[in-house]
Amino acid sequence: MARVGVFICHCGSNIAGKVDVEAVARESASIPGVAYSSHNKYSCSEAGQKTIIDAIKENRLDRVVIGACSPKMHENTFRNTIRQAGLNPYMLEIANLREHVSWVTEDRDAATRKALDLVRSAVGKVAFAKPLTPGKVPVEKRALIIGGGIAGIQAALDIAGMGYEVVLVEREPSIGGRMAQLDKTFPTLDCSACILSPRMVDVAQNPNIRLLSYSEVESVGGYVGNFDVVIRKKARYVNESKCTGCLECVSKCPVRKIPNEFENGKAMRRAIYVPFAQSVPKVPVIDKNHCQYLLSPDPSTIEVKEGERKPRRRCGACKIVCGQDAIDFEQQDEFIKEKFGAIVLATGFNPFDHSKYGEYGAGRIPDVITALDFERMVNSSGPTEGKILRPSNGEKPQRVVFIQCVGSRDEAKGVPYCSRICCMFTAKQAILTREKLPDAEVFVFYMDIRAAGKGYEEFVRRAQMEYGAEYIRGRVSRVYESDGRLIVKAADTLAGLPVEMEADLVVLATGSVAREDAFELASAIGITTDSYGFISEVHPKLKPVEIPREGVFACGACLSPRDIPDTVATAGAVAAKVGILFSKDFLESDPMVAEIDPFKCAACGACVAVCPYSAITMEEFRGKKFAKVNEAMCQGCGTCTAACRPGAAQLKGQTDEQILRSVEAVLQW
Amino acid sequence: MRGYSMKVSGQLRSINTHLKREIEKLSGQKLDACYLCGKCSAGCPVAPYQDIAPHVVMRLAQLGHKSVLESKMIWNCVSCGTCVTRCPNNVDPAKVCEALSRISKREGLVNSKVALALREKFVDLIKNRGRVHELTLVIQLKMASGDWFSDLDVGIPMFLQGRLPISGHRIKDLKNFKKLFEGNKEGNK
Repeated sequence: MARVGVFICHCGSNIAGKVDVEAVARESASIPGVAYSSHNKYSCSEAGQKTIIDAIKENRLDRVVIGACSPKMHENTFRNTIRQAGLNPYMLEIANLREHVSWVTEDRDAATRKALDLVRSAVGKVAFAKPLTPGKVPVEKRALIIGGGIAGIQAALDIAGMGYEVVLVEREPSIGGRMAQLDKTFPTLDCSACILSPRMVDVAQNPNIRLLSYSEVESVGGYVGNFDVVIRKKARYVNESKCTGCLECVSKCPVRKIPNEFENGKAMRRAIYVPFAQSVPKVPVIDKNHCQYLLSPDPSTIEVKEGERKPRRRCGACKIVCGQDAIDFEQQDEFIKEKFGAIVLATGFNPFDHSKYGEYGAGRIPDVITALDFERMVNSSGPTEGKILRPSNGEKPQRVVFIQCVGSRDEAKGVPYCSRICCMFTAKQAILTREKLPDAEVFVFYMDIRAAGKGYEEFVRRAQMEYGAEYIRGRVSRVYESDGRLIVKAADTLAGLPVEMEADLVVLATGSVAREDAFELASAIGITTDSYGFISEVHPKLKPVEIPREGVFACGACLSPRDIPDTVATAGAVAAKVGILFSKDFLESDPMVAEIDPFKCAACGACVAVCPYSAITMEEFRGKKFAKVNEAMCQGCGTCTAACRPGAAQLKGQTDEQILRSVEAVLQW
Repeated sequence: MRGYSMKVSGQLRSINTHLKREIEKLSGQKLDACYLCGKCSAGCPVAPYQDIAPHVVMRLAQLGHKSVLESKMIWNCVSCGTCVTRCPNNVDPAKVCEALSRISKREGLVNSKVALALREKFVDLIKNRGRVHELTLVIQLKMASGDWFSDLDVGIPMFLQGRLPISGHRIKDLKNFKKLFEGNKEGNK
């Protein structure tokens, strides 16, 4: 006969305020199988746990029911408690008397009755519990990082610094991400490229980091410690091992009018190109959608009829000038299959597409530009070589107007959240404008200034007081062209006055939105995003970089809009979490997995078909077929147990018998 | 009006949550959704000529401040809809103005005789003819305001160009049309 101990927790007044805990403890003593019952003010406290340990030893209890909060909170705590008393940690059942009872009712009597029912049910179930031991799975100590912006770069360097191997996958031809596009960084005004490019070079030179640029993750399988990942290395048409980065090929390419993505389309690149001067790796890429050679058919395969002109020779200028013979037009996409122990998502963000703002011209007014356009314009390697000019006529603007919250805090445009960085980069851009054009006037239209960060408020005050940027509180209603200038229609809500001013250049502080391609990636990995498409963390406060799929982490702006300091901080946090994972040679696997009795199994294959984790395979032994569960891959969802008709599939710790007994216990009374 | 007034000093003494609820109910707008960015005031074509700007109307409405009922803005809103088109929070200040003007009329706090006369005469004309007759409306308005000469520079050219015809149009099925107003009597808005 089982000897069950029942311990009812007051949880201060959380449970005891609604449930008569003493009555529940008293009544539980009469449930068959219960050898001991008591109640305790805080069972999870050290003193509370000691009481439980002592009671187990004194009363020779062999299994325990604890009526307390949700098992999500303290199941592990109490498993450890009973382990200390010499019991198998899985001889424990939790009756949730807080979230399921006291917190959801006002009725004290009903709460007490329900609490007792839940305790009876738990006693019925625990009576049939069996000792379980966790399995062990080895950890592949290599990390995959998806995204080569500052987040991915920092995480890669930190993980590699711990001595673990890292593969960094970047879909663009160069790492660097959004930070590489910026000119200066707030609040210190240090040059973005100057602080970023040394790290990019570190990535290239670190022996523990393998950089796969111009590559994408195709699929992710497996589980924590043992992910199977397929990476597509897109054809670059340039042999990376032969190329020296002389860029002779780029200067000879005849296709010149392709909008450069890195310059936000505001400058042109060629069909063979590196995105920017400090690119890592400094190996050009041939854009197969624009390359004359790749787009034209092979002349040798074309039959020339009598009287027709022979087709033109294919271009191949880059191949001719390349001294290293690095150009390879025959290159194909390559699929790399590798095993990783951990995956880090660092996929970043996109700037808001302001074509939704018809009142600001929706991108059709040339002198209304976005903050990213401005960053490139003010950068000395950008399209205007650092000069602030009106795109419409190339003249210096006399008055520059900045409009904040474009694509932020705007429910009507589907972006009700604050993008966090725009107040600061607008202040920075206002300062840069006043520095470069001391004669120009600068106006900033804002709703609220959110400058919560080290040195941030001081920075905004400097923009106003030292640099003379005029801040006007009010959202701009409309921007339109008139006689070659722009008219900005707004209101100063503090003065209560309408404001209508002429301007030469309007800069929209476009907010941050989630990347749509990251959403596809998230679905492929099987993790969730919030309603805006940002990746959801396990807990916004206490597990900010962990993702509900174990072994997968995320850092940077793919979680939510954030600035560079926060991005770097979360990248470091991810590295620490990966380090914790890799510090073990083996992982304990949850023993609450499915198990299939080969003698009962009818080999119908129903479980194989329904298993969402592909953890069940058909085996054969001496001519008899049966299904078998891979315990390392099983997540304990129980789908197979519901599908199994002979009842051969059972979830350990949740067997049919245990569940039926727990239902029975409630119905009996 | 009944209702609990906050015991605070000076102007804010007339803050009234009951008034706020009534405005919300009448206008169908969630007043607290407004964060007072001022984009409505920035785009409003009539705001520059009013006593208070639309976002101030919204703020006073949020407070349930009685003074908003005496404002001219709530009567002179032309319901063009610029504010709601551009509002980041999908609030409709024109509807709030309309609700406020109705409360203002009921409470006898209308600050603009002409505005009230315009509203009443306009509705009367529609009721009786199914369509507005501009000349009648102008004459009735002039009678209400007692100001006969201010708009002559606009009125005479309009009259000469046939914009203020002497005989107006009526609509076809006036009897059935009037039933629409009967529905209104039963509180069927």
